[in-house]
Amino acid sequence: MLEAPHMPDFSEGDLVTRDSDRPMSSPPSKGGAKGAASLQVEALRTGGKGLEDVEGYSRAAGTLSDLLTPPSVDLPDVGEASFGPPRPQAETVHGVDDRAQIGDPSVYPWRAQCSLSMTAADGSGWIGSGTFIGPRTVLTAGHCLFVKNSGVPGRDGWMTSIQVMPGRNAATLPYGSQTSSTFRSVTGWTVSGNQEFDYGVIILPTSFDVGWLGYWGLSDADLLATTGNIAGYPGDKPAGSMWYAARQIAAVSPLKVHYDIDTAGGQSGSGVYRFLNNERHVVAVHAYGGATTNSGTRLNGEVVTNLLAWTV
Amino acid sequence: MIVGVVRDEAAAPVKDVRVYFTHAPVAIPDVAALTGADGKFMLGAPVDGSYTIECAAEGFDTVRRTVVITERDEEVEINLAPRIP
Repeated sequence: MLEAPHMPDFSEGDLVTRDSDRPMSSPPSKGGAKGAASLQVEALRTGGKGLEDVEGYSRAAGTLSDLLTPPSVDLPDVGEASFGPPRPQAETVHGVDDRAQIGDPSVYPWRAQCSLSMTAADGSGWIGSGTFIGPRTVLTAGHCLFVKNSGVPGRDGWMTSIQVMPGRNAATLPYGSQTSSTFRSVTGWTVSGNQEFDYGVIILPTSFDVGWLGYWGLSDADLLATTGNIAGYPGDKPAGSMWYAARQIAAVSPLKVHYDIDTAGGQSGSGVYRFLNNERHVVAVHAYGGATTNSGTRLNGEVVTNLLAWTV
Repeated sequence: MIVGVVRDEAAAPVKDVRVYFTHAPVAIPDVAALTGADGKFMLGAPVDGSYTIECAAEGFDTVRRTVVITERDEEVEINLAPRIP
């Protein structure tokens, strides 16, 4: 039985909980919408390096060893990166910006990523990102669902609504959009505001046929051997455009994953995923910018247990 | 807290400008605020220190501004200039 801070909390609707020993989801799906076949061809071209074959994408140094080598600078203590003084200076793009734009987000796996337009309780508007983990389920950061400790009167609490736009490409919504007010998170975030429990899901009214990524609670060793991939909707790029970057996982703790993948405001909620054996599994949820690394909430066993219960 | 308003070259408020942190003294959620119809935004600054925000909108040059938070809210006015193609 799950206990706080992983105790589920929700905005509305019925809440189902169940325990599971399974550290991963059912297999990912490419969905049945157009474009799947072309993506299978693209996936075969990637050569098993753990990153996507995106036109125009290369790390600044441009070599595979760079991709597979953690940053040479001293990393902050993992706990210090999340809590307690002295805090690191936060920058979300580190050094040379090597993000690449996704030319056609309407094909898998890009269409399993979505742009989020959130409205908070005070009426303020926000943008974020999410990753489909089921036909009606979008994984995202807890702070994209529930505002905590904002300091702004009337803002804290569940978002009043979130518009979900899979595969968005600027003003083009290849699969349309849905708006939801049904969210799941955990008390570690909604009550305690603890960054280490900053995750949740959006439950959509109806299914999207865009496919989804699996999710997997990897071991420390497996995580540290993983190239983290992130695609999402950063606010510093043209509105609604999808951008991709990848980098080796740099450090892990029981509840957090740190990486040097470039991001910007608006990419909170993107799944950090592993691409291995032609399957994509989310291993963390991107949430924070940090000094030398950005970070996300780790999909450990308890998180996976909740996701298994929530995924529809 | 950082309280701001974004206007265009004619001093009219600009809606749906994306406002986000690029530098902060602590780890910051990687979201972006959208300005309202009145061009206003409010961003929480969890601790005192130096924060850098950017404002991005289609048709305008991106503006970067550094704000030092001490014990009170800081107000900023940002004027966007049209992007020259």
